[in-house]
Amino acid sequence: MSAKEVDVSSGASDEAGGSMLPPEIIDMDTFGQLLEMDDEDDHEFSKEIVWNFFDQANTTFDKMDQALKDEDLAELSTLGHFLKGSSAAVGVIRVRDGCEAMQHLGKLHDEAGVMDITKEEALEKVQKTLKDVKTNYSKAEVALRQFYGGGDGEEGGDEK
Amino acid sequence: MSGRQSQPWSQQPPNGAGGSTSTHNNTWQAGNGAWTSSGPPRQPQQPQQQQQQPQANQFAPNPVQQQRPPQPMYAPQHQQPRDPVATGFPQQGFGASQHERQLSGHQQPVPQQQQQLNNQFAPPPAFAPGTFREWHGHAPPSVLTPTYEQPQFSFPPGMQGQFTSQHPNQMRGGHSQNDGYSGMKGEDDDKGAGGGPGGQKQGTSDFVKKLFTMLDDLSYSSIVSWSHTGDSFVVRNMNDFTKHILPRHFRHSNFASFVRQLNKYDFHKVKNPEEQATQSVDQVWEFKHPDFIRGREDLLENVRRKLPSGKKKGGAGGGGDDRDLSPTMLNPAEAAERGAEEYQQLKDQIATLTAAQDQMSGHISNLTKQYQGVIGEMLTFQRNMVQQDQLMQNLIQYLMNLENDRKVEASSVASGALADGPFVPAQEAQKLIGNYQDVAEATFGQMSQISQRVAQSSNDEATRGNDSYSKGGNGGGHDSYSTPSGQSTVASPTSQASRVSRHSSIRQSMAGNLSPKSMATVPSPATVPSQSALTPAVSERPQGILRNNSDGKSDEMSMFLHPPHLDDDESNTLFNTAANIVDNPSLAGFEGAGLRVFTVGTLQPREGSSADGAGGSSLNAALGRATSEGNGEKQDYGISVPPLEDLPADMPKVDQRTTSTTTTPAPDDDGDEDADGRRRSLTPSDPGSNMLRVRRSTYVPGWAVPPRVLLVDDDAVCRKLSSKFLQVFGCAIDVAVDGVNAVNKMTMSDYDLVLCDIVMPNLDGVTATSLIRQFDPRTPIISMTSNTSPDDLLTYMSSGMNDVLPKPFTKEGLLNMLEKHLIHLKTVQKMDQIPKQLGLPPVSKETLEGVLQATAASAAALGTSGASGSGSGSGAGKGNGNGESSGWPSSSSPGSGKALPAAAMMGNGPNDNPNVVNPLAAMGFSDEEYISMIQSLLAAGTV
Repeated sequence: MSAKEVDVSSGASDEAGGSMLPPEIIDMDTFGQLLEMDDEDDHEFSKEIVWNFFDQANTTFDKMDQALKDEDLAELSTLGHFLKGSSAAVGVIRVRDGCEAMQHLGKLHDEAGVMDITKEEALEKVQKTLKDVKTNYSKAEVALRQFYGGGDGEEGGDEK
Repeated sequence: MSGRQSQPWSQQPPNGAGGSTSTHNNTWQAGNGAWTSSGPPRQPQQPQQQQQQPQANQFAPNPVQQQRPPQPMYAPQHQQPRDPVATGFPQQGFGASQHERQLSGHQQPVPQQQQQLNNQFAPPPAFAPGTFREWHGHAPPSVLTPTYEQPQFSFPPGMQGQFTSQHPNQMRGGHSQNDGYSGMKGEDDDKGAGGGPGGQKQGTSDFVKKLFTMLDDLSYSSIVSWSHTGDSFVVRNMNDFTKHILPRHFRHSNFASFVRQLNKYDFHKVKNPEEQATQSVDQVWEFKHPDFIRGREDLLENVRRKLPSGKKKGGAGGGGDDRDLSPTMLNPAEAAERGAEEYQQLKDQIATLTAAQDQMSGHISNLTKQYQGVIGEMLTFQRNMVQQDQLMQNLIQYLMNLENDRKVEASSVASGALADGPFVPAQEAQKLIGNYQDVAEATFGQMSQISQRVAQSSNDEATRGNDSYSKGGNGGGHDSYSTPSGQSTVASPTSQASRVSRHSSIRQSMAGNLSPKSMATVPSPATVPSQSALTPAVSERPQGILRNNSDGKSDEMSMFLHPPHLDDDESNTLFNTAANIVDNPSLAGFEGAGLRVFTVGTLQPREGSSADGAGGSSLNAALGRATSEGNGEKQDYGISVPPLEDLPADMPKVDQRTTSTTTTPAPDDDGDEDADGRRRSLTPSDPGSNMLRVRRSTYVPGWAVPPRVLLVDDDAVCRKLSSKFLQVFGCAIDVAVDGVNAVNKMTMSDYDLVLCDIVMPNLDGVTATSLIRQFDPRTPIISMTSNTSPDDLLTYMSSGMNDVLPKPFTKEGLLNMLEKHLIHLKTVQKMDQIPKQLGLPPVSKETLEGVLQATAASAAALGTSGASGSGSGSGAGKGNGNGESSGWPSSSSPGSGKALPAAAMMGNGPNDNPNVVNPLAAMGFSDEEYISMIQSLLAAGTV
């Protein structure tokens, strides 16, 4: 099965112009699985998923900003969990990790979810984490958009 | 009279202790004889005589007896003949009466014959002439029996009873004394020791003393001795005891008598169960008496003869004498002796039987235990068999997939293999499955649901007529080509028509065929997907309409309603095209694709469904589509072979578009147009794309009925991805965006499986599961979550979830989960065989029947395995290590949820069994092939 996945993903990337995704940003196991769902001659499905993810991420970031402003840690935790799920599904691992950390922070745990922290600490860390997550997300978005080719750039307008 | 005493008297000649004694003896001996001969005693008269007579007999000299005038008349009569003997010829009289010669020594010569006796007695008549005469006259000369009988004759009938009772009285005192001795030598001993009736009361009885002495004699210890405790004695060897010791000490060799004697003295036999169990009961006897104790000679006095039992006394009425009560007692006494003996025997017997019964019951309990063990083993074995069956099914499926894969690849490269192409068969198999859904469904009790769904689907289709205009625009033309084409190749009658209109209409019919089936998988009409499931069919309609005007549409409709119906022209053309297809190697790959198309077709609708309200935007798209010439060209082109290849390629496109339309309608259209162009350019040589699709479809499990899965997730990305996976896996999907939505959907329709996110707005997955479990305890609910700490898992399980699919999950993980919990929906891949024979007309009836039987058998097998699986929902999860998971259908029981690792471990067991019968033999695989397949499978699975 794995061999087939490789076939599919490599074939897909060939079709997409050979742009490889940086493995430190995108988990190719997951993303390859996504691509595998594509049809043979385009990436409409995966692209839609990814674009969907972009939308979702941006929306979530906005909500996170708002929640941070409100110091609503519970909401931050929920949002972190939410984005963690979708980012994990797409394979954007750094965003996923950041969101997981945020999920923990929102519950007044440290990033690993092991130790308790105060609300101030949490907010502080959330702020930093959110920033990191956004940065990582931007990188991933760029990479993904590259992967899908510049022709789709017009959709990129949605993201910001 | 004299005959009475004959026995005792004659046997103890040395015992002539004195006149009185002898007389006494005579008396009671005579009485004894009278009693025995006279039969039943007369009780009423006993009391008086008992009191008087014994004493008279014992202590008073004979004259005293004679002096009793007041005695009943018969008494004198009776005694009269005897009295003279007693007084006048004390010995003589007796001697004469005896038959024994021994006694006659100091007596007058005694005639031995009865007649002589009679003569001898003749003189006494002087004393009592009347009576004697009578007696004499009556006595039969030849009778040898004791003379005491004669007096009986002498009495008038009325008196007889009294007379007989009188005799016993006389002898009673002595006789009671000798109870148990009569006829035994022991009697003599005792009598001698006692020196008469009174002797017994003082001191120890001789018998007891002898016994005591005997036991003290150590030389007998091996035969008879005290027991260890000293409170009883044991006869260790009855035979030796009887032969050697009894004669020496008791002057007889009758063990039974000895025992009887012991009983008389209230010795009791001691039971020793062990001994009885191990050795002959007859050889070892142990007797016990409370006062018969080793070294305690002083207690021997207390060892006495038993008193007559209470009931004898009762018979005696007021008789206070504890000795003899009445003549009647003698019989019971003897009977009691015998009874005691028999009682002992019976007791022994009972003890033996008891022991035997104990043994038996022990044995039975052993058997019971063993039986239970066997039953348990059988159950285990059965369970293993079920596991093995499921494993085999998985293997078969996997192998078939592999085989399909291989063949597809081969066919895409080498052309000739079309006829053998597994996919045509596969497709046909799908059709057959559809036809025989009933079988599978009946097994799973889903028949009614399916029929419902079919009805719904047809309704939907009908209502979809209008929608088809709008939706059909979504590249439906391409879809229709692909679907129908696959179908046409499969169902021989429906191949490509030469005219576009025909073509499309046929396709429609085919789609009509298809759609009901696919619809059957759709859970409920309420769900959007169900409508979209029709898209393939619908999409064709617009094409037909656009191209062929309204006529075409009506045709389509009719065709749709009556799929099997074909015009002659059409059928001809169909055959032609079919022939083309067969001849054209390039189609081989495409045909393979056809199978996929089918699955995609079923999937596609749902995808559309997941996108809500695509209608409006799709209308635009449809219009654009319809007007675009490119499509038209394609359609025209489609008559020939190349477009056929084209079409499958388009299929997925259409899918994509429907979904994409929902989100970004406008750009999609453009993209589609572009895609169309690209596609067309690719079509001429597009084996690679086919390959790709083939690969993807290899994952599709062989569902007998597409499982209805409810996907609950608030995350659109995850939801979409999961739906896609599920589609690929051939599931009918419904989605819910949160817990409330999920619960509502669960109340409205049935699902085979629920995939549920945990963290969701409004209502989280755990709570939703709890709610669902209140009305639906069975449907497997699998949590999809990234929170998989043990605590979380416990929470999930306790809420009623059956399993956990950690996020982000892989396709394989999802597939494993599906197969694990939906094993009961899987069909054996033998179905793939069907098309091989059916794909090319004419169809051999025999092969068809064979296939049908196999199908039924497999369905039955599935059913049974499912049933047994649910019965043993012990949580023994089964999955096998190679990624082809097999699961218990019993996931219904919440407790059956198991840790994934455990399931994986369990699953590996059956794999190790090399002695598997080739289950594929029926499919034409040789054993070698099978083994190699297994090996490669194992290799693939363990990597």
